[in-house]
Amino acid sequence: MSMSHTFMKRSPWVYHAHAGGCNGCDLEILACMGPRYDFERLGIKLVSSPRFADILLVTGPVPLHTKPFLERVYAQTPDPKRVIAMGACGCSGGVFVDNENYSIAGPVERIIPVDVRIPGCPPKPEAILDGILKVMRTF
Amino acid sequence: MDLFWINPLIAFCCGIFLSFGIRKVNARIQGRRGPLVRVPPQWHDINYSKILQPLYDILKLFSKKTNIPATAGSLFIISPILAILSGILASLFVPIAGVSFSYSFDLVVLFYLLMGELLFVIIGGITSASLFAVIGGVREIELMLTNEIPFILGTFALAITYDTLSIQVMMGFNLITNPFAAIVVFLAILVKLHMKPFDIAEAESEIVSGLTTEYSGKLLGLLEATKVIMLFVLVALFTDLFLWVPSTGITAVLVFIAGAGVTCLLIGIVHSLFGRFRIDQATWWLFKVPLVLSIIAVLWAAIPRYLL
Ligand code: SF4
Repeated sequence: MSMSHTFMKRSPWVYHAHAGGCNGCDLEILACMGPRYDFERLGIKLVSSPRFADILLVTGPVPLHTKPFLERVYAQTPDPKRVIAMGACGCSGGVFVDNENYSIAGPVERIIPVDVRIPGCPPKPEAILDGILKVMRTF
Repeated sequence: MDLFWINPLIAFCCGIFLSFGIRKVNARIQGRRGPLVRVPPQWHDINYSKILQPLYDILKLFSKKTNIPATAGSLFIISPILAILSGILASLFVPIAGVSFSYSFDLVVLFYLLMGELLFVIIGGITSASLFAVIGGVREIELMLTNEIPFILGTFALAITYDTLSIQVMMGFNLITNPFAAIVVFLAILVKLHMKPFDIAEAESEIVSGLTTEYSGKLLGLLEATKVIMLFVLVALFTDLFLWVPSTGITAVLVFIAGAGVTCLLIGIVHSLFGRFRIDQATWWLFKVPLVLSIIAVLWAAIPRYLL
């Protein structure tokens, strides 16, 4: 393992890309920042611009009109980068999965490469932390 | 040999610890743990201790690819370098445990270097042609205009008392000599460091970190390193001007560390206890409180000197 990968593992900055979810997942991410599951313990930080990020945390089923933005956010994130698809929506489409659904472009993996999936609707904060740790260990 | 050449190195190393300290104080006041000092065994493959977290952040940014937006000009790349250069130069002029590059008017040079660092960050951000960066830049300039007057008046109050412009001569426990100047300079430092009531220029939730929105990778790493150095320079300046007890050798180092620790703790507490001002509230408040206090500070210094 090279030096740069050690540092990547030690300070993962997460960007939360909201792609049409119902806000359930987003609230659980906030719970991860609170006193109980505080992810700053491991140096994980939620950043506000994809250009700062190492990990993209994508929630939601990606509606058609969000697809170009998600692609652009992925392109703006500097390499090396990883993607987490979060929630039932992110993993598979969740409640929106339906062959006749005219407005959904994905699950996330159809649009950008996904490294780790966190199932659940919404996933528990423990699960989110576990997912982030898993993706950190792939650096 | 002159020791002041290692000041930038000391500034960077101590800045890392101060930055960690502020994060920890912030987390503890919010009831969180913050970056762990001892990481539990099941996470030892990630790290053993997070004390150097700000350093890891910077090194990680340096090991990433840098994306440069198509709209950005060449100043986008040059200005972070100039910013960190002014930070490094500023750290030469601030006495660290009594050691600095001192001559008769180094206070004035320090003012311009501190201002220069902010200006370069503003120029770099604005040339990225991102709207968020422009909004951040405008806010930053408004804050700078209102903040610079109290800062200069507050430090010049000490210059009047000691009849000099050299920081080395002014150093002392001036918290007692001129408490108003201490309050004013402390508030000005909060604004310069973008701490909580005044972090309007880099508001993460509304304007996506403002000026630094378009920066990534190594350039962002330079900006983060500049922040760390500036944190140390300003904390050291406050310690020297207001919390310094004249001493030499190892006592000087201890006094300096204690002073810097207290200042850092105060900054951390203020940072975590307050919400963010709106830009109009901040400029108005800076006109009402620190400006009036700084005029009182100047009078407090001048009246005993010239009238009594
Ligand atoms: S997975 Fe569930 S909670 Fe998360 S965005 Fe989809 S519907 Fe909402």
